[in-house]
Amino acid sequence: MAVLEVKNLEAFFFTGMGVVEAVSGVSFKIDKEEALGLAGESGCGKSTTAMAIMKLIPPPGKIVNGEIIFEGEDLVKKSELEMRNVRGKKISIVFQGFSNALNPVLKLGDQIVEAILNHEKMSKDEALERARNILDQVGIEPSRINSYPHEFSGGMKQRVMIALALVCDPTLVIADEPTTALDVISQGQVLKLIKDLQGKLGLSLLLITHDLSVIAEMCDSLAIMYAGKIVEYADVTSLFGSPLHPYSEALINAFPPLKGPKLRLKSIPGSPPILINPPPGCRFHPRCPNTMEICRKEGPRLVEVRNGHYVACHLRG
Amino acid sequence: MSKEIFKALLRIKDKTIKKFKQSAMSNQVLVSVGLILVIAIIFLGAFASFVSPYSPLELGEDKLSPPTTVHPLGTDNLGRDVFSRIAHGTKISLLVAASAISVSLVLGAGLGTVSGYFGGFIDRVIGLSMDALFTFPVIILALAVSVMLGPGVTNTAIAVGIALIPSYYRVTRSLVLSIKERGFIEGTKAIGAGDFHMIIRHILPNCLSSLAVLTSFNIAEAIISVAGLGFLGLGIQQPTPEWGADLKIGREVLAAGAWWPSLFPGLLIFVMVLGINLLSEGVNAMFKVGITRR
Repeated sequence: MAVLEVKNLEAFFFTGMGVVEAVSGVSFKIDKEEALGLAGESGCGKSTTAMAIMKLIPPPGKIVNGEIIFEGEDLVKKSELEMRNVRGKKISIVFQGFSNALNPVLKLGDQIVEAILNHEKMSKDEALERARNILDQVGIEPSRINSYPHEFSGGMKQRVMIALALVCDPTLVIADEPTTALDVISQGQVLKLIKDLQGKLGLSLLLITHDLSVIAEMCDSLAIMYAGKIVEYADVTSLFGSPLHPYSEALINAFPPLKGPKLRLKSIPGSPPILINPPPGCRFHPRCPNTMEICRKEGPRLVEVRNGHYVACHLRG
Repeated sequence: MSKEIFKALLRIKDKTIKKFKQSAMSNQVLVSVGLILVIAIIFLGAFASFVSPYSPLELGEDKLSPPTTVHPLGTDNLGRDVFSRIAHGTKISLLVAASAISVSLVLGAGLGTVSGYFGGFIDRVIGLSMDALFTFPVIILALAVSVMLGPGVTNTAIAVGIALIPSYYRVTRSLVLSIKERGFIEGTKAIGAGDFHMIIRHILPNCLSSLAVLTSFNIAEAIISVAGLGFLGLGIQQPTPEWGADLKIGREVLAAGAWWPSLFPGLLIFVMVLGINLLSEGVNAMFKVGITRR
C-alpha cells in the first residue's frame, strides 16, 4: 500500500499581481521504503509541493484542490491542530537552508529534546538519551549536545537537521534540496547518510532536487516537474534509459557525461514560464523542439505509456 | 588676539574629543564611569536606612540650615535632613522607575509579540492604538494617565509604565516580524510545534538582547518621568521622600537663598541619568544592536 498518495494537487499563491499557479494538478505516490525523486528547474513548484504535503505553504499560498492521502487519511482535510501531530512525528522535512534552520540561541540538545517532547510522553532525561542516540546515528559526537549551532560547520548542521527530522521515527521524510548549499564532499557524505538511514529505518523518502545525478544515485523512481505540472513519472532506470518527454530528454542531455568525447553542452533554449500567466496548452510548448498544433491549444494529460511509465506529451499518445 | 586663542582652544578640544572617540578605550571608559555612577547610587538607595543620619520624615529644630557637620547637606524648610531625604528618595525613585519598566516591558513586549506574530487584523488594531499613543512624548502621556489615576506611589509607577509601552511595542513587533521569517521558525513548525511554544521558546529569546538595550534607555526615561511627575505635584506626594517632589519643595525656598534643598535632589537625578546613559550607550555599542532613541 502506498504510504503517500498525492492526487491532482493544486496549490496557488494569491498575490497582488495575480494568481501564481505554482502547483497545478500534481499526482504521484510513494510506497513503503520507496525513494521518489522530484526534479525540475527552480520555481517549477517542487518546494511548494513539499510544503503542501506538510500543509505549511506560507500565505498568500493555499491548497486549492486535490487530495494528499497519507496512511489512508486525507491531510488536506485535517485541521491545523491535527497537522501538528503529523508534522515531525509522521512526516518530517529536511530543509535546504540549514544555516538558518537552527535557533541560534538554543543549545543543540534542547532543540532535539523539544522536537521529541512535542510528540512523545517521556522525561527530559530519556529524551536527552534519545537525542544523543540519534546524533550518534547521523555521525555527530553525542558529547556535542551542549553546543550551539554556530559551533558547527555546514555539513554538520545538515546532519543535525537530519537528526531532528528522524528523531520521532517518521514514516516519510521529505528532503528539500538537502545538499544544495554543501560542497561536493559533504554533499556525498550527507547523501550517503540519508540513503543508509533510509534503508536502516525503513523510511519512505521524497527527495527534491534539481540535480539529476543525486536522484539517479538515491531514488527508486523519479518525477520530473515543469511549470507546476509533472511531465514524466517512472522508475529511475526506464526514465534515464529512455526518457519520453522532450523536456526530460533535454534535461538529461544537458548533463555532461563523465566518459566519452567532449561535446558542447546541450542547453534548453528559453526560460521557464512565469506562473502568473502560464502559456496555454502544454506549458512546455514554447521551448519544445517538437511543437505541434495541438500543443498550443490543449494541455496533455499524464498517461501510462508503458508499464509504470507515465508521460504528459501529445507526441507519445 | 583673544579670538585667536579661543579658536585654537576650540580646535584642541575638537581634536581631543575625536581622538578619544576613535580610541578603543573610549567605550570601556564610558561604560565603567556609567557603571560606577549607577552602582554608587543604587547602593545609596539600598542602604538608605544605614547611611542616613536621621529619619527622612523627622522634623528638626533648625530649619533651612546650610550644610554643616550636623546636617551634611543641610535641612529643608521643615527642618528635615536633606541627605537622609535624598538617600531614601533614591530608594523610592528607583523602585518606582523599576516597577514602571516592568509594567511597560510585560505589556509592550506582549502586545508587540502578538501583533508581530499573528499579524492581520489584530496587528492593525493594536498597531494603530500604539501609534496614537506614540505621538505623545512620554512625559505628556504619563501626565495624562496620572491625572486620570490620581497621585501616589503605585499610580505613578502605572502611569509611567503605560507611557513607555509604545516604545517596547514598536521594537518588539519589528523584531518579531524579522525573526518570524527566519528558517528555524519554519523548521520548528515542521516538527509540529504550536504557537505558544514557538513564541516562548524561539521568538522571545531572540529578542532579549535588543530588549535589554532598550530597557537601559527606558530606565533613564522612567526616572526622569517619575521625578517630573513628582515635581509637578501629580506623582509621589509629600511627605514621601522622592527626588522630584523634593526638588519642588527646594525650588520654593530658592528665592530665599537656600540652594541646598533643591541642588542635591536635582544633582542626583542628573548623575543617575548620566550614568545610565553612559552605560546604555556603551552596552548598545558592545552588542551592536543599533537601537536608537526616539
